[in-house]
Amino acid sequence: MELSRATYGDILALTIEEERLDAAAALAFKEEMRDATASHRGRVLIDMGRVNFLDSSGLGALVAGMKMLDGGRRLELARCGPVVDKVLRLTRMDTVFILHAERPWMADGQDAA
Amino acid sequence: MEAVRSHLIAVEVAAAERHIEEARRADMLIVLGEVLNNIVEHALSDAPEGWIDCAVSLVERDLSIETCDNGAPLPPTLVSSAALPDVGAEVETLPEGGWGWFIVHSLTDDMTYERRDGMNRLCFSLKGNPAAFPATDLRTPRGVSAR
Repeated sequence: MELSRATYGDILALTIEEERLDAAAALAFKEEMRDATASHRGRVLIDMGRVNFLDSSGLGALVAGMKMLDGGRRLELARCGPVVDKVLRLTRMDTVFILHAERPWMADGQDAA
Repeated sequence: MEAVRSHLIAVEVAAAERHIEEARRADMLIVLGEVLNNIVEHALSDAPEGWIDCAVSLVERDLSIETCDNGAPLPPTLVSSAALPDVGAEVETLPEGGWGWFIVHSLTDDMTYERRDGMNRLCFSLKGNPAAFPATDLRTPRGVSAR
């Protein structure tokens, strides 16, 4: 599970560099999340743009990832594709994460480079 | 779980070749993923010689799925319905699982379950009102090994 990291202001942006967040990837994702978010105190956003499949184990890993953020911070998800969106809506977890159609730093017109 | 993943990718390719529309293909893969992972994680968790036989067929407008495995029996209550886990008010109390069967029931109809000769057989069809497809048999590669 490759999770690339960048920061934009107080946002830690993690990009899932894989097409599937599924049962086979869930454990590795959680480990990467723990490592990536350990010392960050601001917003945490996951760019889901490359992910074309999410199952309930992958969803559980996202929830587990949110629980790693102390202070009740909500995990933010950007660019969820149709399958990810459907799984989030079916399980009502679309109300739990903060969803963005686009990456917020792109929408703000900032340079993403 | 790696075997489930590669099987799903094979089914996805087969479904695309048969021109099943994208939304329906997505539903099928979501359901298959939940069902197969449930079998691997629960029914076959103590079965070193575990196997799953999985067939997807497209007959006229109906996409139906049949799985057979040699694992532990399925709790009967899961066959009829499954509840959505409570979404707690606080992040700390959010569920980290338990959605699988709810997702399956949300997207399928006509679920039947049979336990015979130490094997589980689960059949169901996908919900929805797809466009007319030519009748074709979408047999997927047989025999997904559990590990």
